[in-house]
Amino acid sequence: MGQRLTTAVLAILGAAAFGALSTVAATDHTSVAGAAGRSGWMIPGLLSLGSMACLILALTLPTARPIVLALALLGAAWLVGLPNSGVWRSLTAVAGGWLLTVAELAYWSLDFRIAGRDQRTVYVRRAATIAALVGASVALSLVPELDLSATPTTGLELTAVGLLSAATLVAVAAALAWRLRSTL
Amino acid sequence: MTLTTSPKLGAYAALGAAGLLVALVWSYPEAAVLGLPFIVAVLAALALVERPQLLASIEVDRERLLEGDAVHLAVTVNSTTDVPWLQIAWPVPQSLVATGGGDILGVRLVARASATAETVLTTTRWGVVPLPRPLIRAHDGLGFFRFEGTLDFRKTLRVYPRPETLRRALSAAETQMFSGNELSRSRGDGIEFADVRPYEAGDRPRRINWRLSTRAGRLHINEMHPERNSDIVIFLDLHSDVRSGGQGTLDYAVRAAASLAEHYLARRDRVGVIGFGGVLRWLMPAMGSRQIYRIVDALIDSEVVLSHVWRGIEVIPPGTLPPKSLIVALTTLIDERVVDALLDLRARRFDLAVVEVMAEPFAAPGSHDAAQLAGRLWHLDRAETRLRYRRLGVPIVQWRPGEPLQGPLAEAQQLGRRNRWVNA
Repeated sequence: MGQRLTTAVLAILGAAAFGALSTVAATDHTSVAGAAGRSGWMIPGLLSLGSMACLILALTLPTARPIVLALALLGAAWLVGLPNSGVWRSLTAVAGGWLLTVAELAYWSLDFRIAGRDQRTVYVRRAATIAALVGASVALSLVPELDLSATPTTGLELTAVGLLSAATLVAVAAALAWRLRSTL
Repeated sequence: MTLTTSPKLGAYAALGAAGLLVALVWSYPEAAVLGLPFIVAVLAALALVERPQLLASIEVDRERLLEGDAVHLAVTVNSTTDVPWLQIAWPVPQSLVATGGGDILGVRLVARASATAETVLTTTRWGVVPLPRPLIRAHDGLGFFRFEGTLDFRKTLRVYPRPETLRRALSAAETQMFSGNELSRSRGDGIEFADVRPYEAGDRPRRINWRLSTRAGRLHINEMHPERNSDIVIFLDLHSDVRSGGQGTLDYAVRAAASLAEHYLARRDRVGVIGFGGVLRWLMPAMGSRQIYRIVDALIDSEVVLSHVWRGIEVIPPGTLPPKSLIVALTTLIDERVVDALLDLRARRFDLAVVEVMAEPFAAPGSHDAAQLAGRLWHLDRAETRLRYRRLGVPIVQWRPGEPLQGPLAEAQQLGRRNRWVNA
């Protein structure tokens, strides 16, 4: 019970901090939300509140379904609150890692619904795995971030690169899924 | 082991895809950057997952025990691969209660290491209980996949009813040929004085009553009651079982049957059992310590099998009911077939005693008027049934489950003696 509560509280606090940062970022008039006027910061604020509600609902019921909605709302809050330029944009890779951490903590909390004993080694291993996963994903996310800041692409080029990346990802995922099917 | 995926897999894939889609549609590359960690996580999970190679062995400290005893179960799991999170759980079946261990074990199992999950289950009711099969769940390192399964373990626990110690039980009206602990009404060799009679040629001189012979002026000899055994048939009503709160009349009836069988067999009597229900079960009367094991093994398989077939005592094999045997019936007197069968036995001059296992504690009437009225009618009907037995001179006593059996048996013994005296 203790582990479940700890991870749930950490996930909610992480989501709250993420939402607060998105809202602060939206005070800049160059953001998507800023286009709505002086009260534009309220859009990411409301999205963050909705996300918090979904997360609390998911962790108290407990059920996994609202978590994906909470993460989507948090992601949307970040994207609409992001100023057109500046330090906030370069922090998107870190924000992605943060979002992944919140998601992992939330799902971890649900995994511990069934109380067990002698799980200390499991916690340590899981925490280390999450840290490694978040670190690796942030590092990978920083690559396009650096690339984008160096050479901003046009719409068509971006679309082409994006489509190619998506096709590559789908191909890799299909190959891995095929491997999973054949080995398991 | 069955592979199941966590909802996380679909959620992460959806979030990553949504990020890419938003980036493409709205030319907003930050959306792709935001979704990339989720795609990395999914790809890493797909790349790293492997089926755990587990070997398990189960230890059970005993397979035969009495009600209230505990059984210790342990499962040891060995793995040839690294399992980041292995969960082992012992489900608790009905009629068993976990009294030790029992928590779900969750460990990280490194390759060639082993983990042991133990539990202690205490029995609450007699019967043949299939032992639980431990559940095993192995998670992958990233929590996207889990492999679940139960161990193929098919052993049963034979839980015998805990017999109640009886100081004295019902005595048969007539005894049999073999020596035993029951005082016969006939005259013969024994140590219990019966009567004196004039000496006849062939009488043994050591049985001469010298004091009476001196006074009477002619020889008299002492007559003795021999100690013989008797045949006891325990008649178990398997047509009805009134249950409430996890307990029922059949539970108590079987315990009483086991107590009676143990008591009579200790007195060198021959004991048999008839389970009269939807499926007829019987055990021929026999004596000796092996018979108690046969009886309790037969008793713990007792169950009520629903049947609408009207069957009387003609279905009982003749050898199961020896002449001059005492039939001790343990019944709720609810099913008419049992009531009629017992009356039929009495009509055939069998020595019959009925111990009614009271169903009332398990069948409290409802609070509304109609239920109260139905309850009263039911009680009247049962009282009338008891009266039918009493009119035929059958000792019938009520036994409230949970109370000592000794009291009703003593009452039945008194009623039986009085009836025999009245009939004589």
